[in-house]
Amino acid sequence: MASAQADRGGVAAEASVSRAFSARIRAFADELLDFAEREHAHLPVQRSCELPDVSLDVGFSASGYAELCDRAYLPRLPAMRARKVRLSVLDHASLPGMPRWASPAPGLGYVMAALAEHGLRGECDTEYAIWYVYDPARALGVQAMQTTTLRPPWEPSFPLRLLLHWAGRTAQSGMVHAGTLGHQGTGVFLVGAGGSGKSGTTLSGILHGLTSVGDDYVAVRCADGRVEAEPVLRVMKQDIRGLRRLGLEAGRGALDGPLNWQGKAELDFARLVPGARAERLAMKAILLPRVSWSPSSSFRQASAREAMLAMAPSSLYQLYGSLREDFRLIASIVRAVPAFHLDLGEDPAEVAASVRAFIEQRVT
Amino acid sequence: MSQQLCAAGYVVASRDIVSEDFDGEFVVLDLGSGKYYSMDAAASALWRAITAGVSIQSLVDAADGAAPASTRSKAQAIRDYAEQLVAYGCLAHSDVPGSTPLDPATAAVLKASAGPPRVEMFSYLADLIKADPIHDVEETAGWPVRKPIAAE
Repeated sequence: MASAQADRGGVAAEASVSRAFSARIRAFADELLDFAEREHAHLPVQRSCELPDVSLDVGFSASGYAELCDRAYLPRLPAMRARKVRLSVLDHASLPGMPRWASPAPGLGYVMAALAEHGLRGECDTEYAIWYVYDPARALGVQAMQTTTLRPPWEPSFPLRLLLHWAGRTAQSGMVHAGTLGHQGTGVFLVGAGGSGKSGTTLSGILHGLTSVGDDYVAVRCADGRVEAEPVLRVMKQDIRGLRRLGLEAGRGALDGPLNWQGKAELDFARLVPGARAERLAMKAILLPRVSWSPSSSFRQASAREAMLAMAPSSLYQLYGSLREDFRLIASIVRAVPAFHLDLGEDPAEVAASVRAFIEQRVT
Repeated sequence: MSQQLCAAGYVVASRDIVSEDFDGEFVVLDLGSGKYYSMDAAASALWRAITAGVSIQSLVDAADGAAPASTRSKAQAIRDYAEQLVAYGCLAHSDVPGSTPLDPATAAVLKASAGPPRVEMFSYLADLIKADPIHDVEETAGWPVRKPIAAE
């Protein structure tokens, strides 16, 4: 709880806050948490969610946001996890008695900085007046909205993103932003900049017989030198041009859903290719794909530093708020498995076959 | 920059500066600003030594052993490196010179390095923290290009 130990969570220097303002934010966060704790058991909609080391009980004051979660997340059987967490998604329209922040919303980063000083995670989306607060000590989180329909356009792609990130975080596990491919329980991460071929490689691998635990955000556990990955989200995204390259067309079959806010198709890849979703993969390498226009794909060793620089940025800055711990978790993954540059061939089937052969080599 | 302008010693600037060592190559992250830094072998050897409390003078002395002109260049490069990291906010000046002995492995790296220590800074993510809460990166162009206009 001491400020000297606090993770400022990637907050810009100018977001340092005055003691009085920090105290007000902390008091409001406590009010929200206390309110959520009282209301949680009485909320009309309840769901459960499983991450590698955490079981989450999620309560909703309105059904609309629960339906977003139903579309985004996989139904998972409750498991004996090490830790249980309660999350509440509340809205003022349903719960007029919920505490309100009386002043103009603090700027981005201020809430995070203020709450980090007290051992809490938190953020405030000023545009939509949504507060996110998580208390690790109480294993309790709240997402306080004006109404469940007043939300950022990207919310349906990954609802509850920050609360799940904070609640699912342990010393050995969390979420990372990476593509994955697997074969017979063994897998590889695919990481890199947009346009590197990460998502196209993941999808083409699935179409050619490989499995995956996801392409955007996956749950990881790194312990005793072993790295495991599990699915979090049901869907993966691909732009229309990328689908066409793979012979797919939006609006048909498993791609019959509406395009997302970026104009991309969101597809349940296990619906596209039954059996494609692995329950868990033992990760053996990090691949850094690159579109090379070569006739065939090739692999060459990458340094751990290169892997860190490829894997860390998008994970750290899309799933923010526990930067110090996330930096360490990703570093531990990078140290645990070797990294390789993957120069992608032109033919998706050849790329998939190369990745399959690579994975088979990692097993033996 | 002259030797006289150099601080007596250097320390890690704050608890917001975290670093990880990957087979002798460091990646340093400033939690406060969101900037991160990638260091080559020579820069990493210096980072390890300075943050362990080795004095700049010890590092300069360790660079001795090559031709005189090269030695002067290396000594200046070490001082420039330390001041560059002060400018980045990773190191801070200290009135107390470091007193930790330089280990032979680090000395060997410094002697063997052909060019100046290289530190690559990545600052675009600092802007992403503030302006782009989640997905809003131009994926067709890739990192670090942000979408010019936020989608509705």
